[in-house]
Amino acid sequence: MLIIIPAYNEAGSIGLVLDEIRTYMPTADVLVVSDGSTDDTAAIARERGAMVVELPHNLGIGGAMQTGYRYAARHRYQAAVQVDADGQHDVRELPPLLTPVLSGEVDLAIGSRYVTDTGYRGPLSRRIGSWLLAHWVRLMTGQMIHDPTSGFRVAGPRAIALFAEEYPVDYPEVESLVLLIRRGLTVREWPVRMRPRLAGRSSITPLKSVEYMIKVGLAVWIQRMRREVT
Amino acid sequence: MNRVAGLVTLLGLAFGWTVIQAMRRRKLSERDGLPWLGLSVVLIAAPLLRQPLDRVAAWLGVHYAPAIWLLVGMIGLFFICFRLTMVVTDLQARVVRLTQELALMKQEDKAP
Repeated sequence: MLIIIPAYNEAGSIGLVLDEIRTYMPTADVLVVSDGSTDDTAAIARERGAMVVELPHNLGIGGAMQTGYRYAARHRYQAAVQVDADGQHDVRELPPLLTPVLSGEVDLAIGSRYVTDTGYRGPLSRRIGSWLLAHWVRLMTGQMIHDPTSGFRVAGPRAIALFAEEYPVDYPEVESLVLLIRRGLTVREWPVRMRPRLAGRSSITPLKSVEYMIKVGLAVWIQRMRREVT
Repeated sequence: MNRVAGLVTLLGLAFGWTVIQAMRRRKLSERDGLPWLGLSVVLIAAPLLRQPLDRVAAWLGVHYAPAIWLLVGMIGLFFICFRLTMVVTDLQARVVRLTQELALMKQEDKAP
């Protein structure tokens, strides 16, 4: 199993995240993809014993995650776990996501804040955005994903192979789900608890949220219209 | 041929020569230079196209025939901009791929 952590200037939290992974998932390989960071993110990750891929300039979350999937595909990992570098994802929640992927039951397991009441409250705008996107995805694919923007997910070999070759660049979480479902891969959600970020501030402003919704909505629709080559 | 027509023809010749020189020095690919060569040909031929232009203008209901050139120019620039945007998207995808490959190779070099 490979844990992929895309990180852009997360020196304030990456050490704690890696310590937690070492404590609760000591046998997992950990790959930090430093996405053009200008702080000590890469150095701190190396000190903690993680493998580090340093992108020479910022590609964004999609480009950084795809780098991790390429690494996972080359080294034939059976599961690739995406964990955010800001500490929001608790690796103790991983086992229920990992088991169905490792057994081949599903191709992508998503840790969801909304599939049952996990106590997550978050900003109202974010919950409305997730609700709208969830219904948009259902309209486009026929499958309800309650938390389509969740970045806490586990990919199996088929999803890793697909993402290594094709992964959305700008706002990948939602579009990548549609890509998988359209290609006939199985996606399921499991309830997880998520925490507030350990350090730094979210870069998402109200204006960016609107831009996000429009871009993701369009990307999902275009993805739906593409002719699939299987 | 009046002075403006002569100036346009000269401009077309100079522009065509510039495009060919850019292609010769590999500053512009043949594929990307072709539309610009086409433009220079249009500029050179423009003074000869006055009567056909008047007929097209009359058919379109445009009272001032030279305005057709403005319309054609704007549509042409629109398509060139659109094509350039597609080229940017393509180049961006290549840069992402190369950046990822470079970073992965460097990581493998450092790996024990």
